[in-house]
Amino acid sequence: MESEEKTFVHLVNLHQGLIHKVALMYENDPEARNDLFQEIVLQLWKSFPSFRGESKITTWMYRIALNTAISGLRRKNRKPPTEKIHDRHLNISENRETSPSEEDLQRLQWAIRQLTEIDRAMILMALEEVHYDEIAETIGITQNNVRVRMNRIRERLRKLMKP
Amino acid sequence: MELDDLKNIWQKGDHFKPRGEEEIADMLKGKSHSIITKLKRNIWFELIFTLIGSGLILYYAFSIPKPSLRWAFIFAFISFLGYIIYYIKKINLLNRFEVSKGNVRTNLEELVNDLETFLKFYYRSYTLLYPAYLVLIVLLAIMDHGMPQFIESLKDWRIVLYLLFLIFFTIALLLWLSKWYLRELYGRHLTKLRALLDDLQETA
Repeated sequence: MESEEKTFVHLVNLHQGLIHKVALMYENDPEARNDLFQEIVLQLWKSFPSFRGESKITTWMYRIALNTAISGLRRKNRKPPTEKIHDRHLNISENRETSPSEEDLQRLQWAIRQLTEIDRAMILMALEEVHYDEIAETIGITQNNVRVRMNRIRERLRKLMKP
Repeated sequence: MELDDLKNIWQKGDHFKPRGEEEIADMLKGKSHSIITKLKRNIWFELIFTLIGSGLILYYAFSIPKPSLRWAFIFAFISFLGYIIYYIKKINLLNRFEVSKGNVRTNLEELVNDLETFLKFYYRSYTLLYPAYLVLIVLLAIMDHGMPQFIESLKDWRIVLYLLFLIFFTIALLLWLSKWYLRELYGRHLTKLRALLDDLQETA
């Protein structure tokens, strides 16, 4: 492996949680999620030579990952699975016992998937403790707008997560 | 429910299967699944095929003794040249479709702009190509039957009317089909991208 590739692979390995979470929020089907994961890695690799460290590595990774997921210029071979909240409960009860916290997490993931692609990106970063100024920079809106939208998103999630 | 409550729930979810460095390195050798990459591959294939085809056609055009057939080959060669220019322009347009390193909003603006340009070019080129093909077919038919016979047949107004109807009907049908095809292929995606951009512009 060449040194540039080695550095890149090491960076992706270090921050792969970020890519996993973006893929999880934008693709419900496991195979499609894997495809998106790989597509993000490829796009990051393509952009890596022009990364000069002007922004944080995670900000750069979020930009590429979210642009890849949101623009959706990927080949869709599979029909997107229709996901309803009762399907989710069925999966839980049929397959295994789930702890209350795991159930909350699945409920949250389901609720996030009901949001628009932009709102999904914003809440994902907020949950990952990304500061509002960085969210604003990644999305391309003002910090004030981030605050307004975040309030709206939180309200919507609260309604969606009501048992 | 506050953001901190959501964070508490979220942070319990780091259950993904980590990929090893080797697996990540292998991913770099893989092919992109992007539609753009696939389109580019197809156009390159068509371009190479057209280049080989034009070479062969030119060779046959000058080795065939029958003049009418020679002209048919020369016309085909000219139309192939048109296609070569068309494919190169298409590749250039597709090269602009890279995932932007800019923010999400800039990326959406660029995508919408590039996709609109691509679709306009696609449609306009067919608006020119279909009539050109029809003219080519008519010319070949004239050469096959002879010019005097063709001029003679044009004296009958019903034949002229029939020919005009056929030309306009065929062009209108083909243009409608191209528009429908483009809408099916990219139209929904463009609408979705525009809606996302509108959503962002409302709050920006």
